[in-house]
Amino acid sequence: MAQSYPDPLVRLISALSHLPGIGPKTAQRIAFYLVKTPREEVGELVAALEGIKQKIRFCQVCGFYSEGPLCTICSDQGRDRSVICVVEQPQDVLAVEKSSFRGLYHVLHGVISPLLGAGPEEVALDQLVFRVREGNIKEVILATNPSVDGEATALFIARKLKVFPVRITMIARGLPLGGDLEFADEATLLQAFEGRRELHLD
Amino acid sequence: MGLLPLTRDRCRYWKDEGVLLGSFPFGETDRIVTLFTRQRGKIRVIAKGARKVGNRFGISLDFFSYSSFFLYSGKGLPMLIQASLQESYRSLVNSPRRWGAGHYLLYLVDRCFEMGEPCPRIAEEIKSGWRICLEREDKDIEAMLIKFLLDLIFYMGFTPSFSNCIACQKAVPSDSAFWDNRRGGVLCAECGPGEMLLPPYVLPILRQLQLLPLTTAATTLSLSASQRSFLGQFLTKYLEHHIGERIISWDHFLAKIKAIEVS
Ligand SMILES: [Zn+2]
Ligand SMILES: [Zn+2]
Repeated sequence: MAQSYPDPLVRLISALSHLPGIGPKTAQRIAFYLVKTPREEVGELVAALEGIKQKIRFCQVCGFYSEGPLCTICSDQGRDRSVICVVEQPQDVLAVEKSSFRGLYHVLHGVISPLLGAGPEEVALDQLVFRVREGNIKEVILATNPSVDGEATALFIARKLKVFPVRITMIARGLPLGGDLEFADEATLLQAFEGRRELHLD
Repeated sequence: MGLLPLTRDRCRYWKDEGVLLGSFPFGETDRIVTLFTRQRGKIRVIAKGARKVGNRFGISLDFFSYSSFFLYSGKGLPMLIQASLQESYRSLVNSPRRWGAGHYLLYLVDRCFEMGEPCPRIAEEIKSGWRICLEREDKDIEAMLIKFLLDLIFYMGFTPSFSNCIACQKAVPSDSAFWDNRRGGVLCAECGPGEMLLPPYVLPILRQLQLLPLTTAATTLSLSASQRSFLGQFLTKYLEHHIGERIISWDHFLAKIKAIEVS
């Protein structure tokens, strides 16, 4: 691909095409656009990219994006610290924030999937068990995606946590099946949280 | 087998049915999904809007669903226009082991088939396999997985000889049979030494399994845990050799699942 372009351009196209959702054609389009973009604007982009690499990390407690060791949610004393909402990805936190939920979060950074080679140790599960054991947690709300693997992951977590004196609930699957939580609208999420049900496992 | 006559004409719409093998997010709201369909085998298509909650594909475009698809092939990736659920085996999620076995069938199909190699029988067997995963006990599920491996080998055209020596054509007694992955079959006591000596139960079981349908194979044969483990690994190795790709054996897969079961 693009053998005849100068090396720096080829490098850019190749780097861009590694981004999620960007194929070689889109990568080329973005690269050509950037070549024509004024230096200051590109500088802004470069600074932003460097910023995320230097300043953004994951919260030590919940796994959400943060600038310090703790994210703004974990360090907010006004939130209900007895409830943890478990989500798959950091972007799901923003989605759930659209509901009336004002507790804490736990970001798994994936689902348990034997196909993708992700076992329980790959998703941040021990940390969740630790939080439930150590903290005064009253309820854990499982808000994984409404997919087969999201549901399997939720059930697995519920099994792991059932030894603790904590209420385990799953958001209502009135959330239509399919799709990513990230793209749920406010009304749907509100309903999903209000209609959450307790999980009873044998 | 083969494509619908439709596709030879200018009409690029086609109806198909099958299962989801995998998917990844594409752009803001779309997904690129890999399907295994009756008519086209493994295909990669784009499902517009599939990341939106309440999207039109819903449960029909998730694991453990057997669905009908309506597709369009134009420039680039074919597009999934509509999907409707025929049969759901979603309750496999309720048990880690059943869920794992259901996934293992998909894993094998994804691993073994190249894009665009149709095999309607295997599409059908995935469904039967899932039903067994839902309804039967662990040992039956494992026996089904062995039969499924054997069928994959058969449909892919790598069926080995389980009866006659592949070097001298003599009938091989099961208690002195050697095995050659590369040449694909058994060797007699004279041609075999140097190759792997098979435990005496292997050939009779494999011959019997070849004849039984997937749905009854599990219950007809009663195999011990060590026999299931040996046969599973033996067939995985054989398949691996012939497709030239590494395949994780069920035993290995199961180790991951077991970590989930312990609570
Ligand atoms: Zn945090
Ligand atoms: Zn011989």
